[in-house]
Amino acid sequence: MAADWEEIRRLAADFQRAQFSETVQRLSERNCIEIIAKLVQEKRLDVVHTLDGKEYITPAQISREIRDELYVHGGRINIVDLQQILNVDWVHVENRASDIAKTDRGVQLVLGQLIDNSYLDRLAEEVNDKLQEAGMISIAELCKAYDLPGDFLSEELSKRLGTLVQGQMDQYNRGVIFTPAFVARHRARIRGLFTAVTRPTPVSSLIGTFGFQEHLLYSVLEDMVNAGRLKGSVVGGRQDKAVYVPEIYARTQNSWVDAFLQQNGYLELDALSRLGIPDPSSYIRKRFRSSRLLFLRAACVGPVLVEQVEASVEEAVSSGTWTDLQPLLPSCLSSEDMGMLISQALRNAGVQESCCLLGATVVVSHKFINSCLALFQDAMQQKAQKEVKSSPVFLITEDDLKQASVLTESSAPSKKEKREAERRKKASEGGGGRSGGGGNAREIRTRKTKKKGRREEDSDEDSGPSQQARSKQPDAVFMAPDEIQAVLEQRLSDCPEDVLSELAEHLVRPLNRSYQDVLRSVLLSSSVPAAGRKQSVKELQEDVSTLYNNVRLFEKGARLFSEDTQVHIARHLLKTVCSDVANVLVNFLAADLLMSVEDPSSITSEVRLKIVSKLPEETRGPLMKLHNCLNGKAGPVPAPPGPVCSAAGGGGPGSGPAPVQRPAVPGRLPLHAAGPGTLRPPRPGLADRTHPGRAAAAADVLPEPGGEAAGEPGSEQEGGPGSGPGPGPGPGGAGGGAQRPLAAGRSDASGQSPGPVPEEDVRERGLTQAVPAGVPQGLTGDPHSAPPPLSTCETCPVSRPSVTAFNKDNEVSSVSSVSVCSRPEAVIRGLAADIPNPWFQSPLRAVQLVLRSSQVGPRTQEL
Amino acid sequence: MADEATRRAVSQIPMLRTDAGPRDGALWPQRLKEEYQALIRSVENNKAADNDWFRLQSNADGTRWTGTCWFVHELLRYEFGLEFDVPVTYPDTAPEVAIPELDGKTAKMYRGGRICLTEHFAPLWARNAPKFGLAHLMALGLAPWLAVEIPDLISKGLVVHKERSREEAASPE
Repeated sequence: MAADWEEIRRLAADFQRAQFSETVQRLSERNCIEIIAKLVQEKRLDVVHTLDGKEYITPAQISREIRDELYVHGGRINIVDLQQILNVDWVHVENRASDIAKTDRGVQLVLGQLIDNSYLDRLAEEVNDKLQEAGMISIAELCKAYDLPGDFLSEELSKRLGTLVQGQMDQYNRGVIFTPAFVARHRARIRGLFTAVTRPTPVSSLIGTFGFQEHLLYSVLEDMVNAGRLKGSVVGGRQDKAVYVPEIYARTQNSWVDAFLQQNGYLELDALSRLGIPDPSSYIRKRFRSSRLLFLRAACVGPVLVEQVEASVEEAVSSGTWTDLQPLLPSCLSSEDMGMLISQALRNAGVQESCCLLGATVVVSHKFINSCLALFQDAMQQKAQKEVKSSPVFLITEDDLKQASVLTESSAPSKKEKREAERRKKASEGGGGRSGGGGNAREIRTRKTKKKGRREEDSDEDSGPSQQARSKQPDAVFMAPDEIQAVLEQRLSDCPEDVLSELAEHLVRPLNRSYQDVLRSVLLSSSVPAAGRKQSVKELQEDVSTLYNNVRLFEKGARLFSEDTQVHIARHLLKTVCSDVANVLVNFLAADLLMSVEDPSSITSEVRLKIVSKLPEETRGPLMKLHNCLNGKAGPVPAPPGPVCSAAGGGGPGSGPAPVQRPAVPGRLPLHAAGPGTLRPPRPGLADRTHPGRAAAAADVLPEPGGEAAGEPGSEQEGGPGSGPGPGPGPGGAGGGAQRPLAAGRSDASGQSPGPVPEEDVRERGLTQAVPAGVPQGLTGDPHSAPPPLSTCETCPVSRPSVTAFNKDNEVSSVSSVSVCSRPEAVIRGLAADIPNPWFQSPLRAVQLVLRSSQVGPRTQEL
Repeated sequence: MADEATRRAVSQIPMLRTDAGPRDGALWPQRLKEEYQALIRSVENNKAADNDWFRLQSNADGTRWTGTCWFVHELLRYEFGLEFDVPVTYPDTAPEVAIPELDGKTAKMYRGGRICLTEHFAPLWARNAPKFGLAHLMALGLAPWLAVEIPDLISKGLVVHKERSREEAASPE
């Protein structure tokens, strides 16, 4: 135990000794690192520690290791790989590597890789192997394969061309290396292919088809073309659109064009462009510079063809026929081109003046046209004769009229005429209250203005081509184009139809013109010679008196019949004998203007109107009134009296006076509606017939101004003098206030009776006195009363109108409302009063006298 | 469980064979002899590795031990006094090493400056008792504690180098 403790004490002492013994002085690793870091920091030592911090390396060692690694890796090593291998910071590796590349000429730093010459040599050998195998190698491929920049590679390879690399570089494109054998092969293929090409071929398509090298191809091709080995040319440079045009093709093209032109005399631009000539017209211009070619829009015509056309045109002109150029011209020409060509030919031939072009291709000489015109001469003459005989009025134009007036030395110069008209107009306007004045004045005025306007037109047209004037006269048309064509067809059987129709259209105008001339000459020749005038006046007198007597006689006889029959007879008289009287008169006057017809009875109401409208103003007014009376219509286009009468006939009133009163209807109605009494709305037929009377009554009951106003619209709407009854009560209204309603009532009552006339009633006291006595119904005067029966007609004495007429010589307008029987006298009287011409007056006077004497005579005898 | 460094440290220190505490009478000297041999061996090893870091001495019966330990941090040597008693249940219970100077300066410490070894060292000791001895206590218990705690305490300014503190104390004078 003690021994143990002894030992323990000894051990404790050992422990103390061990504890206080010297510690071995050792530098730990930590210390070493610190020391080296200190040294490096103080730049006493140049070492680089590895990335894991376990080693220090000197730069020289790094360089040596880099070289070693480069060698080990076959002469090419990436710096990144190097850094991993050396396990040193990248910066030190790169620094050393760039140092090496700088100092050692055999080592280069490319794209972060160290490459030495041995590697490049080996690369060149490899490239050479590939090149010998493929014949061609592109730098781009190599770049991809070796992962090196193209510039570097091409530079290094070009250094080794001819030594290590058996080949050559394309001088235009440095990206490719060829072997001579490859180039030769290529050249041979190109030579073969392009020799075989016979038409323009885009080079790019050949490249695609045969796998040529584009760069090589162009240089080889150029060489060959320049050397003359290939006959042809490359158009379009070295781009995609380069086209190889073999010479043989151009030659063929040219020869085809030459042949075509020579054969056909023309060239179609379309055909050329189909051949592949890009700009045909300039090509033609270049190629045929010497020959005179005529360029059209879509073709080009040689001189031969033009001359042919010229010749045929000339022939047609000189022989005075026509020619169709269609067969001469190539069918491919458009109509426009044909026109150009033909007009050119015409110009060349200098025959533009003596021929014209029809239907685009047919040239017709004027001589031929004239001969065609001649074909129609006879027909024209015949037709003119016929026309003149039948209805010359339609043929007379204004200027004809003028001519005629000059010819007959009529003393109605236009100025005087105008002044006269103005005077009359003023007078009638000023004294608007005078019976019938308003209507007349208006009539005259409108006529005058119309005439003036027309005259101006005429003068305008005379200066210019008279085409318009002609077209305005459809009356004087000779033949329609169709007819002309038909005639031509008979004569010229060999003409094509469309040409004929064109020719006919062409002929229409000259034919019409010449037809006018013919007509005029025929007219002039057929006019009444002056010598026979006196005789004709006598004849007129006889005719008129005979007819007048007949009228009186017939009417007298008619009164023996029943009422209805009387009406019909009166109407018939109006249409026959009375019209004859008017016709005789009109025809007589028309004779002075060369418008007379051989048979006056053939004059219809239209013809009459036409003639009257062409008569001098003085005679026109009265005659127009006369005409209107006959027609029973005041409108410028008189409807045949038949329908009007038949319409009236239903209601029973006599047809004769119906037209006379009818004009009042439209004018009166509105006024009546505004008047004191209200009426049923107007009805057609009977109502229509009855209204005028009542309307007139209403109007007349109204104070004077109302009547005046009523007159105006009435005449306006009617446009004719027939509205007489309306405006009539001008002066009389004031004078016979008591009688007015009575008179109106009478007219109302008498309705369609031929006899009584309100105005006259009003003015002629004696008569009016007598009338109411005879017409008790009319006294009602009540506008609302039912229309009086027709029977009142009986009360109207036949003799009275004639007396009236003679009593009031100078009241022309009253004629319009005068009954049938008294008309001719009134007209003639009016004429005598109005017409200043003494020689014209005298026969009328004579007629008058005759009439007067005969009137007394027969009637008394009859009575 | 134990890491590489621990194993190496353990392998260099001879294992104790006698399982006896201070109360075991005759066996205790035997145990104490082994303790001393192990400590001597450990110190020699440390000295050979230029890693000497403590001084120890015991009372006569080897139940109370005192000494110093030091730690070099940034080329400065920090020295602390240490003391511990061998508990009666030794070797089943590890002695509690105390550094009275650092009492209250760190959380890894019990009252009286006894360092806290419960977490890492106690299981190790429990597993290896009775083969572990005082040498193991120093190498596996105190050394890691010092290595962890002292730099932390220095950075916190709780432990100041004595010379420097002396200088600091002198300089104002």
